[in-house]
Amino acid sequence: MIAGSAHQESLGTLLAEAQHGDRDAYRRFLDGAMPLLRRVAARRAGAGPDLEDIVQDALLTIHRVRHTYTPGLPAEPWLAAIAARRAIDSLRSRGRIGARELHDPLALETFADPQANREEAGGASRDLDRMMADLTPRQKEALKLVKLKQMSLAEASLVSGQSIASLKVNVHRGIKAMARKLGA
Amino acid sequence: MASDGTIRLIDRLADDLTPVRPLASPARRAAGAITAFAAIALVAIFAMSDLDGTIARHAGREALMAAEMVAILLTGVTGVTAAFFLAIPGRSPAWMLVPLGPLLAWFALGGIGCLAFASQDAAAGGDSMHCLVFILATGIAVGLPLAWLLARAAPIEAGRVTLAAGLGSAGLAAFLLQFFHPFDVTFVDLAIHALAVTLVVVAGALGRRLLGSR
Repeated sequence: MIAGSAHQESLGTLLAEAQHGDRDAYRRFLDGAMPLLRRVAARRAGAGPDLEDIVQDALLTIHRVRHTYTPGLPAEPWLAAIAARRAIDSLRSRGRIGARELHDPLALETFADPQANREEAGGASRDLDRMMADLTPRQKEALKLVKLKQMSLAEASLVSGQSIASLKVNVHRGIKAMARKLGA
Repeated sequence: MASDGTIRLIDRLADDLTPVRPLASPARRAAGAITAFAAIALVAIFAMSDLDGTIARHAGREALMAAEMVAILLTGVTGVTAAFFLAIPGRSPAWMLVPLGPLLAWFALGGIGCLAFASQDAAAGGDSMHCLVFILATGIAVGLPLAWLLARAAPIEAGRVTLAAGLGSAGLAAFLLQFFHPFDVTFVDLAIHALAVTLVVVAGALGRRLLGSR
């Protein structure tokens, strides 16, 4: 089991080897760090739908600041601080978005029966799904990462495996296709 | 269970891995920065300050002045050291509190000095603008290279780092000012020192983007 073997070798040892460019050690380090990242992120931000985004954001940060780990020290506090920071950033970002959105449930209510409103709320999501139905998988993925999850092109590139140029093309073509469908 | 996106991300990060040189320990980096400041400060003090005048001005209250200068220097040194530690993920956030003791001692000793020794004329206010400009200019001159050094860690807690660095820069600047301060410190001066320190700290906090954090 990968995570178990990572802990046997100690995350710190693996990260120190990764700092020298050992890709296999780095992969085992990241695999081994996942439970800790997930646990810290969940404790800070809850086990909601954003958890996977927070973990991915933490992985990107780990990659960017991997030179700040001091070999010989335990890697766990270093990892936990990064995951906690990214979870807090996610909560703040969620708070900012919430502050700019309508909070009055009556403003969006169309029927007195809450069950009926649930139906309405699902409509927008279904409309979006319908508009995206004809897009290619790569266009869907590019739109989801760049526009819905608001990742930078570099982050979306790392997550999707598409090049940045390819992401730009797929976002552009996806939006044009959706606009055509909306106009039709 | 990791999602497909996360598994792909791990693969991609591992494939993109390049060797990196680990940063030296925060203590060593802080010592390097403070040593560089000390070297430049010593040259400035011996080449440009009125050292004999400074010593004569403090005659009769050497112990109090020495204690105050130690407190100012410690504010600068602990502020800079704290910034280097706080820039590294996982280091104790309690580092933020370390410069506060010397900072309080600095202003307490400065206040005692004002009460005990300032002349009536001096109580009306010294050349306070000189102090303000000196601390601001020197604080920023110290703070910019410090920000460059701290940015190498791409700190994830940029707010704390810039606060500590701002306080450290202002402390080092105020220490240097003592050798170019041609009059007794008054309460107005002390208030101006506090204002200058606050402005340097705020400038540091506003300059957090310099640290390249995200």
